[in-house]
Amino acid sequence: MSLDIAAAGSRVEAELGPQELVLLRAVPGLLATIEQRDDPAYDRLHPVAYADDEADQEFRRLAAPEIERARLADNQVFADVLDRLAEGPAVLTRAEAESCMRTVGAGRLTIAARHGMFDQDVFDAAQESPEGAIVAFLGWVQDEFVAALSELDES
Amino acid sequence: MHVSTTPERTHGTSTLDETAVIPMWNVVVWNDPVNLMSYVVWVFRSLFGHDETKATKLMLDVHHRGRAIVNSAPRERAEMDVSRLHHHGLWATLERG
Repeated sequence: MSLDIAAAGSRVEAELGPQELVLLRAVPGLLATIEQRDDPAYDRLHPVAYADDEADQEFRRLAAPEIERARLADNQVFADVLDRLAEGPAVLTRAEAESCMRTVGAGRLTIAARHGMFDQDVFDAAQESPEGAIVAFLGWVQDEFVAALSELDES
Repeated sequence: MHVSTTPERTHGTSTLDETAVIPMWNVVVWNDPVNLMSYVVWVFRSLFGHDETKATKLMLDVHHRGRAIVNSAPRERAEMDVSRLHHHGLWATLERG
């Protein structure tokens, strides 16, 4: 396994091995399969905001389309970054690295929700399963982005 | 030039009185087993400008107590916060302050 994501001034330098690239390239496609109805991944990515149903529906009506647009934009940035990384090491802007970090996180949440990992016991028990291994791998990638973004210069 | 720091009163009502009655809403983040602790700290720092100590304390409150109030604001601002937290994959809700 090979993964190197690090802060370099106000940018993030990234390099991925071929295996990591293959796994991460599955994430945009995974997120594209999310359905608005009867998909626990959609419910997890658009959680209830208000205890009151009417207020929640109104919040959802106003906020959900904007969140979806932002998530699609993140997804596209992530796919473009992976194309660049397929050619070799790449330098990412802060905004690109943030989009990648959120997209990897959305991938984790999607897999976890579809496999019922809503509480700690189920999540821990799933760690030995194939889907648990993918969630752990994506967690490693996301944590690398978090560390790099936390060390960026403010400029 | 002299600038007064005392609110002007008109018919016994000051501008401070008007702002004081704006209802506040709490932005609550709930625990989930999937989001990384490091990521949650980063989100709190990035979205709310908390320093690392405060962001870490809030994250630990979420983790150990199940929830934490991460901000209080007028409703429109609080809804924007929740929307941004949802975009970042955190489970956030609104409740009256």
